[in-house]
Amino acid sequence: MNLNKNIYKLFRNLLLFLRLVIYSFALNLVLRENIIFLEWEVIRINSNSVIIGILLDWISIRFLGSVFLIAGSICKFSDFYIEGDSDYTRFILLLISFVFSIVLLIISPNLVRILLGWDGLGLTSYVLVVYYQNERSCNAGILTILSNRIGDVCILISIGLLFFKGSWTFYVFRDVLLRKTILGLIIIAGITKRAQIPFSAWLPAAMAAPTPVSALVHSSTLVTAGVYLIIRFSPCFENTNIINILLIVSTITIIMSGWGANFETDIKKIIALSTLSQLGLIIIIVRAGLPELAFFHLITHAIFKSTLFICGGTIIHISDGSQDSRQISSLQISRPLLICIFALTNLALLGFPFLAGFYSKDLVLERIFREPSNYVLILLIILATGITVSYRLRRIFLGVSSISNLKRVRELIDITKPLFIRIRVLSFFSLLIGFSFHWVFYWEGFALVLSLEAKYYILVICLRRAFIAININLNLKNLFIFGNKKTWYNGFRRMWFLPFMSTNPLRNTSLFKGGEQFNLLDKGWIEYYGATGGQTFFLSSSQILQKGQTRVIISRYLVSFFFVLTLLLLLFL
Amino acid sequence: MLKLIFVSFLCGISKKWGESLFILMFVFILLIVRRPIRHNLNWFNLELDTLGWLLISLRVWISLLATLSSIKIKVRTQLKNIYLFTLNSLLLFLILSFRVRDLIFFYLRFEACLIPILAIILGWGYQPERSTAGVYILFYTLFGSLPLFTGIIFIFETEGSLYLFDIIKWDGRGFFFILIVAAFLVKFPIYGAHLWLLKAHVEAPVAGSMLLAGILLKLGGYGIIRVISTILRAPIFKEIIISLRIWGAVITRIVCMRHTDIKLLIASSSVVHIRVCIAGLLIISEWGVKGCFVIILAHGLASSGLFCAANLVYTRTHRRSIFVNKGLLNLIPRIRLCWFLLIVRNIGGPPRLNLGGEIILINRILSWRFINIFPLVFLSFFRAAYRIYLFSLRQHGVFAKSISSLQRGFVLDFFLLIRHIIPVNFIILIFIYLFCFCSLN
Repeated sequence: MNLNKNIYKLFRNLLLFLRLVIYSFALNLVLRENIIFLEWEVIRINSNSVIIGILLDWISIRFLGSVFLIAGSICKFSDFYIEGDSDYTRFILLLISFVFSIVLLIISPNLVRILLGWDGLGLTSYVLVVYYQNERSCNAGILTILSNRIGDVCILISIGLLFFKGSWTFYVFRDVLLRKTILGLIIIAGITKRAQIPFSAWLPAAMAAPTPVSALVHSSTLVTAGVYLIIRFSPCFENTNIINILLIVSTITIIMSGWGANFETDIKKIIALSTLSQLGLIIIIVRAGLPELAFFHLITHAIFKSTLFICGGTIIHISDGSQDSRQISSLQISRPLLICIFALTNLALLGFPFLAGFYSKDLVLERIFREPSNYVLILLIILATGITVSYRLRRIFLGVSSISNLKRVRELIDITKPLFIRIRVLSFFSLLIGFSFHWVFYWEGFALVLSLEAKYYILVICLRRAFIAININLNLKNLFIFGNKKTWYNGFRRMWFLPFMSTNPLRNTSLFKGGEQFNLLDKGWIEYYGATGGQTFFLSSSQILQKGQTRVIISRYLVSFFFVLTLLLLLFL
Repeated sequence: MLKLIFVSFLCGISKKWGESLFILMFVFILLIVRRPIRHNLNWFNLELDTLGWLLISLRVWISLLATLSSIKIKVRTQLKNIYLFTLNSLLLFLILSFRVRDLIFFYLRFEACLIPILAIILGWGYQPERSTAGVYILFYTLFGSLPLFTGIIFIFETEGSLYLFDIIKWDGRGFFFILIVAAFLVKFPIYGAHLWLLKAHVEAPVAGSMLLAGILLKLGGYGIIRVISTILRAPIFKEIIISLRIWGAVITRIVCMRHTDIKLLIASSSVVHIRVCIAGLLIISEWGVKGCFVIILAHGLASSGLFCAANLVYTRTHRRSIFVNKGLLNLIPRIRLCWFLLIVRNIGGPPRLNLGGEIILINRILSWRFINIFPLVFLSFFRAAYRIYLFSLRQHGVFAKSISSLQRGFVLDFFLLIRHIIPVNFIILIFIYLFCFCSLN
């Protein structure tokens, strides 16, 4: 047990140390405007070269630093969360291999190396989702890995197609026009990993994993891998129509998930849905042609999302593993410090002025208003921002509401001191990362010229949505005016029935078709024209022969025929 | 060279298990350390090149593991020495069939391998249905290989030589191709002629299925690689065969989702795996042939490992159904780890050999016809699907109450599984070796 404790400590210290090293390295790179790109050619055959390389530029190095920060803090947190579990050591080893895969993915300059990290992420995430041994996590794991497998397949096929170009390094493709199939496949791969709309069922299902894993998955590893891929390939998407798919998919996802989060009661699922909507926002920014800004938002989002998960996980852990957010109330009395961190992080997420989310979100929205784009897009983005405010406020509202659902006899503990020490770095960063990143990495100022309405529009909408949020909570029943209220409610809560649609038809058709093919071909035609059919044919024909040979006349005929034949042969040869 | 033959021969006649294993190990080390230069030996009509060298090493390794895995037969049954003799004679025939340089001798050894495997299935199989399986394996393969004999005679008549390594010069007509390749296609089962393989796998004892999946199937692949150049004369047959391969693979993939018998599932999945590989091979190109060969090597280890792991479960619960063998995670967690590694390797997880071969094959098939992108997407997806299904349903859920007791893993079991898992991770070096330094012929 002592050794196991040390394993957690070891990885934690290692990761946090690496974080410091890498951040200072990042500062150095930014100051000198350098990119480090190492290549080792492993195999070269017929003008195709397989290259293993390391790429350290402003994207990968800062991403790496944030991953190490988050992973180190989560190591600390999972020490607290998994404590006492029988698979204490296995968990940390899996977690570290998970982090290792994302590191492999981040620093790779070509698609084959990305595939290595990508596949590693899929497989380790599967193992982590099925960490608890029950049927629910088993199903969630299968859903997760099969959704991710679609992305893997897309990358595999696009690697096969890029073979014709002679290189897999995406830096090369900035000036080359790729064929649309490759771009489409990469977009689908990104969508599956990011859990956008046709494939978004797996992300809430993956909540079956232990909370530290969810924190990693949602903040910096699994879902951001999809965004990372899109950001890396974004120069190739310029001047193509195919990127509009991303736009449509992301806006629909934002509205679906944000609106669904207003009705969700599972505390982890609310955070999962908010991840979905934030990722959609990030992709919209990429679509608007601002990949750097998207990346900025990605990192701030990663950090405060992991803090949120840690807070949520602590709440769950303290309240006997119950994930129902209606059970958790009056936290301001029972756990003031915890709800303080939780509320602050929530405010940071919705973009409260001068907290972390504000810098990226405000910048993003103002840039998008300034860029020439259509009104539907702007309207959707405003709606999305408003919805974010609404469900975040609802979350805080539920947490601090004075209706107490506590049991009669109950131990009330606030966040303990060791735990607070464990997560303080992350919570500190989640408040201030926007500020520091904005001034350190985005210090080139740019002027934003906006009209007065556009400037104040966001603020007004946010305030309006805040009122709506409180209204939703108070008058849930009167919300839907027409139609069957229960169907509406379930539809919003269950992500427009996406989990149902993405599992049942596939399962039923494949099983049904499989049985059909098995009966029709393997047991049917192939057997009929193969073994069994051959047997019957030969048996029946030999039976006929046998019958024939017993007849007197036929045997005479045969004898005389052969006699004549030999005679003829002897005569004419 | 002579030493190796002598040692193999010694191995064939020895009736002691321990000594036999020792000799096999010795042969394996001898094979690995020697550089594969072309050997030429007029006396016995023998010749060895890189391809044969790698395949022989794989063969020796797998039959070593197969002998180890059937330790139960040694303990329980009377005919243990005959069993060992059968296994070793199979090995001997296989080694010889990769060393000959004459097509007719290759044909003889190729056919001779059928006898020991038939004896293993009929003699030590589990169910009474094994007689049917024996008939299937015998007649399907013989039906395929009789045309080969005719083809060999034709070749000898037109060319005057049967030298195996110079087939590129053969100037056959179109139907030659079918005559020659049919035997290998049945052995390396094409869709429609694959029934014998499923039956044989299900009925064979563990060593039998390991040898079948790991070695005997690959004999067909080896044969096709040798006579591949005859295809140049028969473009239409080539297209038909490739299409049949790919679509047959798609159909079998869907059927795989229906199987509940663990062994049947593994068998049909290995059938599928091999099919795409042949499709890549028949599109003649250097990358295609090498990629196919990589898959052959990796798959030989992976599928025999899966059969071995399935046998571990079977010896414990005495059931092969997925629905009964549930909840094994809590009871034998370390075997679960081995399962996971094996399954990941079969899917083509990151640092494994399968992935490299698969990428190459995908590229080759797409270069042939772009429309194949649809079946390929489908194939890659379902490959993961049924493997995960196999893994997950076994390990999770509630353990069947009717099974009252369960052995834990023995050291021998882990020994076996780990010796399946480790080589593929190192075999990536062979991949680099193949692609950098050597030409296959």
